[in-house]
Formats: sequence, structure tokens, C-alpha cells
Amino acid sequence: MEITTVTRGNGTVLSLAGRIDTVAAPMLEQAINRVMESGSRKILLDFSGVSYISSGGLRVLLASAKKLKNTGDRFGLCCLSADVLKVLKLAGFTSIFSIYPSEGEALAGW
Amino acid sequence: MERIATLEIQADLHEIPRVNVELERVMRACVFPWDDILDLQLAVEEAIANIIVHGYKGKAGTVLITIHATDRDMEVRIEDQAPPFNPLSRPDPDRESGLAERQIGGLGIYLIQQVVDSVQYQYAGGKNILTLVKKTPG
Repeated sequence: MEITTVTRGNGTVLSLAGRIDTVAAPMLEQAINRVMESGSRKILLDFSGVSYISSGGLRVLLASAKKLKNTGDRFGLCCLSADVLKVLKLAGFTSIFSIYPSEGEALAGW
Repeated sequence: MERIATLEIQADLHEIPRVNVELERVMRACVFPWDDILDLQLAVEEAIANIIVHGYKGKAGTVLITIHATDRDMEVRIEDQAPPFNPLSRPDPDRESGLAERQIGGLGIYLIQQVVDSVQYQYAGGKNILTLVKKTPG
């Protein structure tokens, strides 16, 4: 998996490409943790390049959302493919995550 | 049409991608749709990760994967020699509570059950044997 980190306005966007499987999930967790350690508390994950996510990746999403729950924090997901959205729905994640159709629509509210 | 592929891996999470590559190769040869390939890859990854993490618990071991494709379905048999454990005996994870209460983990087996048409467990000959079946579309 490849992760590109870009600061946009108030937030930090992590553009993900590849598969978020059991092996790649720790890499995503480290990338998110690095952004938080740098002081950014508004993080958007852009899933445009992701077609596959397993429970290892879901675990990272949930753990990150739990860390970014203070007033002013933001944690969002955007540009989910139908295949990734299906897994999030099965896991019951769509009710607890902020999911946006596009990066622009996510950041507009931040 | 019938295709059989067998793969033995070490109890190491880094071995999982090559299982998924093989699964994709066989399923593409059998003209399975991409969505079904992703479903079965997810189920197989969750099953093997569960064996490595909760079965072998970091100890050395092997996992034998046998892929059997016919005109009707794709069957993946996963065998390990970790202590006996029926993953299907676990209760379903919480998928309803809010973010603060939601527990991390426990989703793998549930996802397997949702994306394949059948999943069976048996313990025989000193082995845990999990059999996943995905039916041919149509």
C-alpha cells in the first residue's frame, strides 16, 4: 500500500492506494499516528485508490476514530469504492464514521 | 472443468498476500467476477490471520490451503495443527453501539460468514479444518 500525506487547509489528507490487508494495516496506523504526533487533529483518509480492506484495516480505522474524538477533532473517510463500502457496512461502521463522497465535500465542513 | 491448487504457508501474516495472489489466479481462470474474488480473498485472509494470531499465537507452524474449483463453486479448505478451536463458536461482534462503546476486534469471523455461501469447521486427525464455499454466480 502507498500513502501520500498532504496538508489541505485545516486538515491533513492521507491518500491511500493499494490493499489495506493484515500486512498493510500497521503501516496505515503508523502514518495516522505520525500525523497526530505532528499536531494535526483533523485527518481525512482518501480511499480513491483502495479496492480491498480486511478486518486488520477496519481495526486501524476504529482505533484512530477513538483517538480523534475531542472537540475540534475530525476523522473522516472519502471516495470509498463500492467494494470497500460493502465491507464497512457489513462491519456496522457506516453508522459511526463520517463518510464523504469527495475530498472537497469533507474539507468544506472542517 | 475442475481446477485444484494447493499451497502450504508458514504461520506468518506476511504469507497471506501470496495466498490471495493464487486465489485470484484460479478464480480468474474460472471466470469469477471481481466482486466474488474480493469476497473470497477477504474470507481466506480473515481465516488464516485468525489461525496465525489466535491459533499458533506466534509459534511456528504451517497452514495448508487447498483450492478446489468446479463449474458450480469454489471451495477453499484451510488446515492447521494449532490447538483445537472452532472459530464459528464465537458470538457475533457488536455492530450497533456508538463509537465510544464499540470494541476493537472480533470482526474477522463475522466477515467470513457474510461473504461466502457456506463455512464449515471440523477437527479431525489432529487438524482444525475450515472449509469455505463460494458458489459460481448464476
